[in-house]
Amino acid sequence: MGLYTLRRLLVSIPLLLVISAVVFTLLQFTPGDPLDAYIPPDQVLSAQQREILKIDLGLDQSKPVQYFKWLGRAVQGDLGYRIKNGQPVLAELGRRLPPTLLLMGLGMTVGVVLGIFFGIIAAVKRYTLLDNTLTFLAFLGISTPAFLAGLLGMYVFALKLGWFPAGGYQTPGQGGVLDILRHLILPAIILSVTYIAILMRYTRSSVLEVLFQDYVRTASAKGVRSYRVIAKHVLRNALIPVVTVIGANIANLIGGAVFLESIFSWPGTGQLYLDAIDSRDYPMIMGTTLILAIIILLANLITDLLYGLIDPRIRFS
Amino acid sequence: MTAIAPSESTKLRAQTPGSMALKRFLRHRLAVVGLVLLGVIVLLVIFGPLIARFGPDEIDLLARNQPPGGAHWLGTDPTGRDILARTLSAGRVSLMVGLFSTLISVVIGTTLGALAGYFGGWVDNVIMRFVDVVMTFPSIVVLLTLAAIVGPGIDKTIIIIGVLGWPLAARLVRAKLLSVRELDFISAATALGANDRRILLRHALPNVIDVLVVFVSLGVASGILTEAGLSFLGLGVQPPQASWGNLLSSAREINILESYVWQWMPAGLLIILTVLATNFLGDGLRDALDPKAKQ
Amino acid sequence: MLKRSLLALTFALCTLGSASADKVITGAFDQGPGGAPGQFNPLTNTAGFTWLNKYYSTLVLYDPAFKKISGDLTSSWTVADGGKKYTFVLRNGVKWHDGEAFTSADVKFSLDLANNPDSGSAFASKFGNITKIQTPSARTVVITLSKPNAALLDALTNFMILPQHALSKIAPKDLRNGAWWRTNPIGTGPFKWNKLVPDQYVELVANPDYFRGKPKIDRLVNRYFKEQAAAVVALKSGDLDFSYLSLDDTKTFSGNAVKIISGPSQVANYLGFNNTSPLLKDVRVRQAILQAIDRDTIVKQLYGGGAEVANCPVTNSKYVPKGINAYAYNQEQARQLLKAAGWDNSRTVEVLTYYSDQLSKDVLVTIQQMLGQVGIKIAPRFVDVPTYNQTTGGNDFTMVYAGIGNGPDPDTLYPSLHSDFIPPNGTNRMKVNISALNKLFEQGQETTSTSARTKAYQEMCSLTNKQLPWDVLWSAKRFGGVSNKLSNFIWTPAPAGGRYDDKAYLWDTK
Repeated sequence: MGLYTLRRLLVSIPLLLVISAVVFTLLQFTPGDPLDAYIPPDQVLSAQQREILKIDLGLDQSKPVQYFKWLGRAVQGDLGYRIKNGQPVLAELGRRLPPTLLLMGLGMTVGVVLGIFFGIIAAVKRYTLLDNTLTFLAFLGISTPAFLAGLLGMYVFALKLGWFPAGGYQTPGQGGVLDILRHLILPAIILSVTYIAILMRYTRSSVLEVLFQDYVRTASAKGVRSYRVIAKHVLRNALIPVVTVIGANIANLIGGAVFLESIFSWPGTGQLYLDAIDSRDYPMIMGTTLILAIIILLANLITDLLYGLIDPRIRFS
Repeated sequence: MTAIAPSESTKLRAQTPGSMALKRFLRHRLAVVGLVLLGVIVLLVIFGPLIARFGPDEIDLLARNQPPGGAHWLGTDPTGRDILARTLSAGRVSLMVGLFSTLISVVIGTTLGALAGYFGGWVDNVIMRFVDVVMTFPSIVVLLTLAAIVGPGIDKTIIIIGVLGWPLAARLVRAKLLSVRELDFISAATALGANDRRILLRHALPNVIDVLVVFVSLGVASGILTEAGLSFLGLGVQPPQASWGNLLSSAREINILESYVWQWMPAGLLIILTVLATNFLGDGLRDALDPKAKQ
Repeated sequence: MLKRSLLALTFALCTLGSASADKVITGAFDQGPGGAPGQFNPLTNTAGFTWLNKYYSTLVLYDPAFKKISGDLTSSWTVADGGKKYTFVLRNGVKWHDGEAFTSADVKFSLDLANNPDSGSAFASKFGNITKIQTPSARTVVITLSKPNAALLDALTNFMILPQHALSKIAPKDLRNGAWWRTNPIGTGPFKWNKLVPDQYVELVANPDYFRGKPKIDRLVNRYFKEQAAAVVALKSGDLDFSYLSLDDTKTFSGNAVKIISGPSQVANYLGFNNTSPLLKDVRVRQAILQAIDRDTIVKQLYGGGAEVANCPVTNSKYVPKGINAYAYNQEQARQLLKAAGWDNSRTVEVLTYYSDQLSKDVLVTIQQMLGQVGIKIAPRFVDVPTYNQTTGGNDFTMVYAGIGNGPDPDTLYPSLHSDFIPPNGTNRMKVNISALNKLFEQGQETTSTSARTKAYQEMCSLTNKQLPWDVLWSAKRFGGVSNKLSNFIWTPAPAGGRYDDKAYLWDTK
């Protein structure tokens, strides 16, 4: 397993290189450069000032030179500075990643717990009205666009019912754990809905598959109590698809977070990325893409490693 | 050996894989519901111009923001355009985006996946690394960057979404081909001297159809949702052309969300129903065509 | 019910630690088109001056009706030498937030900094005529110009004075994105910088030594919202005391909790033409476009009456002469003009815009239909600012739908209509090149006689009305919402915000 991990990590390096090169190239084709974004349409900057800015931002050099300069610094851990405000990219990311991870973490946890829970119930009570209702609700959950759920959620729960604040990360002047939690709950729950839906269905079908296999029936016939049967035999086998789904949907979670972060003014990387594109902030876009790609690659690796732990039958080729 | 004479009570009916699949499909209640629902939506959308009494782009400033009832069955939008006509016209756009983007994914994905799965070796390796790269791209990054580059518009949206979806198709096709490759009839064909291309096209690929059918139905759903998301961000389909996504994005203004519900809810409901229907359908197809398939 | 009480309990526990009975006003001051969220450098900023004015001060300010300029950091000034010499007498007893005295050296330092190309300041073009700045005493500044600039005072209403003792040690190049602006900036305004929580909010505290008196409230908070809808919800639920509102947003407020403020935006919306494009060279085509659009109906229906039809780029009625052509709505006449000009009905013209709000979309779509009725086909294209800038910087476009921020002083239109400022030199993106127009702008800037200036700008209005380098459509109102818990709160829409005396030190909560 150690060798496998090492191999995967090594393969990741050229992968990241290719991704960064492709994103950089894509950016060159985007209409408008950072200077165009820096200056609003009705603002006057003299030609001399533009030149100074251009040199300052390194935009006067040829494209390959710009890329390799970026690359050279990136491997040393220096992701450069934002064009928009001169802040170091890594620091900005460092500030914005925790809120996104917090949101994703809570969303995922709620999603996994409730998803597995409902999945087991649906499986055990299969073909009953409860099962059908849960299945239908699950489908509804994955069919609703994230931003619609977010808008409606904010409207109903924050405005009409007043249970939660209308967005933001904390109340200005406060910022204690409970304050942040209060602001976190609504977007996290909305985010978790998709997860609950997907996991519920997968858990249900995995549990069903295993529930009727011989060894389970044997244990049941031997008189082992039914919930122990489920817990011990079924869950472990059902975990594989669950782990797959979690891993595969991490990228999705980042995507869903973009909309929800925007609607709830949650200061995370999704919003950061939208901002960076708006201002054609090349270093920021490159830096964010790199970090996100690393996270996804790591998540995939961990998912695959977890397979090995859960099911010893899986060999690492 | 006594021949079994067919009698009324012991008639053996030949069961083709097709009819078996059909039977399994029909047993899936939700899948049938999905099929019917999808059918209704598609018909509505196609015959939209005949159903609606107004054109989707007919502005009438004196009939702004009218609630449903009266001449405009679903009411009007802020420039007096008929909501029913716009929603149905938007349906054409959204369904087209969903369908064609998925088809693009299928074409690219099948080609690459078939090459990888059939030939194996270094071809497989290179293609799979490529798949890894594209799959690892945070898709939202690619979506936004591409949309900023190529600009908005229906055809560009179709291409962008299509280009994002092919890795999954490639993976599915490759996996199916790998399992099929070892089957006897392929070896028999090779032994008989059939060349690679013939084997690929005539024997191996048809087996892949069932995987692709499921992919298409789920891909359409995903495509519609992605288009909705892009339009919400201001990319995707541009006004005055309506799409369910950009009709829904008018709910971004609290006033419209709250007081002009009829302007965005039909589009929202239709997105949900269409995606729901295609999800049911895809689920049913998966169970019917590939009952042993694990995800 | 249980949930509510549980939430209330946890909330109460959270607030135990915070200061009691602090008067706070929380607003979304950088929401909407005049705002610049997260940008704190007054030299390079082109918007967001409403917020900057809370902790920095300017030499002079308008009143909220934009009729008169009065001194803020100055107590009086004189203009001599045919408008080439300004002598400012600075107010006595003004202190920076760190206790140091405010002197004329700070004024000289700030102006020099603006003129230094390394600082990347937008004000360089406005102060380009300054040849000499003298500080004969700690309270006097003498500015000498190469030619008269009657718009100098107008330009100074947005120019924040910066502390020499704090900033002279930093090289101008490093100042542009320096950390100073967002960590501990020092100004002379009614409030002092307290802290910035990036992307969330900025907090200021009262400046007890403010030269007009200690502010009535203790803290002022500026919250950032990426989605306008979120700001509206926050205003409705009481989390926010003030926000910019779009026309549509104002309709969700009924009842007494929130008061709606409206005022002229001082922005003229227009259809701009690439003046070098052969397609629209014939003035009859441009006239036809104007006459094909039923502006009165658009104003009444889409703007709810909250806009005024405009027929030249200036929004200040003082400079609009009587008798200019109103280009009344007449589609039949439009068709005749097009026929005479030989317009080809089959071609489609792309109209570029950087606006993305629902109202602008509705407007463009309506214009599209109206123009279509006379045989002009347009295709609106919504892009973001960088794309718009790059495209209009070049020649690859025909028509745009945009807005030009006016000030009370029409000189602000100079860089957009004078041929010296065609990109990359400036913002005359429509590449307007009319020598008579150039002269009128130059005249307007250099004449010091008020009546001569008025005449020059009135002529400018007539000329643009006749030659139509732009088809000006209307000027709309903009809106804000204030919680009724606040008293003495003054706000009026202004392009880029700021510029007027909103007496923030008198703002209070009930």
